[in-house]
Amino acid sequence: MLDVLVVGGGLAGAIAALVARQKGASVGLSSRSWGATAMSTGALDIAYTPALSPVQRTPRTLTDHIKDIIAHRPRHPYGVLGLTVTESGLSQGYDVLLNALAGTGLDLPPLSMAQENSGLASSLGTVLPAATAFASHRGLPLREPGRWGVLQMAGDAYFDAGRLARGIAHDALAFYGSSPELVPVPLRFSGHGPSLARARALDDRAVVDALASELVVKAKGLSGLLVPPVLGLARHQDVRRWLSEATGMPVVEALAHLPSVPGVRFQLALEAALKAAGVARVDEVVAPRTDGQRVTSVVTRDGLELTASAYVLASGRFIAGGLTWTDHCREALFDLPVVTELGLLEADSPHKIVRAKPVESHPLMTAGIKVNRQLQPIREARVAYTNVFAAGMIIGGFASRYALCADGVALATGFLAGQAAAAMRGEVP
Amino acid sequence: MILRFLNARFVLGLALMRNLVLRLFTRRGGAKAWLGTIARERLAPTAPQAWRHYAASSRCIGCGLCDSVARDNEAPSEWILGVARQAEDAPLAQDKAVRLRALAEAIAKVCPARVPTDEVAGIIEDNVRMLAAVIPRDGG
Repeated sequence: MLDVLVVGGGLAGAIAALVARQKGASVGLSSRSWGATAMSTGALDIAYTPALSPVQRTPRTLTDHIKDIIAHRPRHPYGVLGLTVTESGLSQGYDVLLNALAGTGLDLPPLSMAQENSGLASSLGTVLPAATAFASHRGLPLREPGRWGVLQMAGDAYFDAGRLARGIAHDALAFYGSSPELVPVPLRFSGHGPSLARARALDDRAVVDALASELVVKAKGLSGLLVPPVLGLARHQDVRRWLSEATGMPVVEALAHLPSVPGVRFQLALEAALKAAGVARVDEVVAPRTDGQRVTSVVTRDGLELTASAYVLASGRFIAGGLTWTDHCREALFDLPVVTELGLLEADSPHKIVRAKPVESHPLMTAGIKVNRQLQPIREARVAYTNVFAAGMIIGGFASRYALCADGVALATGFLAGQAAAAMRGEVP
Repeated sequence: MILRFLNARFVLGLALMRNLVLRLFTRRGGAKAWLGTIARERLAPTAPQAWRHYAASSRCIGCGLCDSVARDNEAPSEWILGVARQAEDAPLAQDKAVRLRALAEAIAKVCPARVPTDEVAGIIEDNVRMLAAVIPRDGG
């Protein structure tokens, strides 16, 4: 028997599992497959509310953005939890993440709720605001003058240096009122193939040396280099250092789009941290057994029955399989009802959903389960199961793209759900 | 709202009438010409069982996560997307079927869309067999 069983292996599930381990609980983690965390850009979104805060030039702290969300979006997890609990959960969840990623090369700076979002260059040629990002994506000073090279590998269909230079300069001017000069640096070094295959190839020192030898000649006189996010997978930390030492200048990776090498690095680092913390990996959980009040056990895909004192549901939305749509939209494991920003979804037929006038985005982009302040799932106005706590994007009623908050929600609710589940350890369901 | 609804039906009806009237005075088009074009292309028909395969494999969302469990310079995401949507590329991917089968278990652990990799490998093999029978070896 386990103290805590976490369902879902993305950021929210990992934080919940690590917190529960820190509290002394025996923890198992079940995941169906990789999900949105493995597709993330390399930045962490905590809170940014462009639609709610039209005057973006005015300095706005993360707390200001969270207050905006709470004021305008009562269904959002930040709104459900309130400002104090949200900020406390965020800070503590972030600390858990810092410890988990220590030494992996995915270093993060300290986080303060009094800080502003920063603009980061993306592989799509835009400047994206984010609370923070992994070390390799920080360091391009978009507000300062300077002459940065944008690296163009030959035949790289995923990273067009000319388009990026124009787009990022345009966005930086709009965002900050100034921009460094960005110049494409075309190379003969091959950029053919998908990004993950190229990242694996760059784990080889000889390949990095070949890239560096060409850069040393072509990047002379530049302040730094913006490069595609493919600088190694297993040896990411070394690859960036080798390149920076060889060229004598800072090397910054742009934020990724799909396929995302930084996302895969993040997922692998979380899995390594879970293993190091002694979290047991279990097969995919496919069915629960309940007594109507509590979940008594769950059954895995290979037929094993697992018992835990408490469960954390961090199974994500549609991508990760937390939500399914057969005859209606439902939560996949416990068959919990689904809500959107417009209210309960089950009663609505598809044409009503499509014709509804959403505030944030398509209503299904806000689909998920409803929770109370303790993060317990709600069914028909009462707690569905007293020993289940939800974390991450399975909580519905908001669209993460609307307020750029997906990682913040995962950190805050992951920490709080893991803590609440660990507090039930020893209880027999 | 009702006026827009009626207007849409009117425009559609007008286009249908125009098409029927033009058919009386032109020799272009028609099922025979269309089938003739297909015959010139020498496209093999899609077998009924292949439609079931395509329904499963078209779940691919192009996230590229399957590339993370491949080796060296392999990119199974390109093979899966290619064979799911472009049957004519199947001969080029023939040798990939073996690798896809070998990677199927590892891909299942990371693929969020649950694309049945084994089935995709089977589609490649089926297409290669079918096209080999249709297209002469000299390529003529």
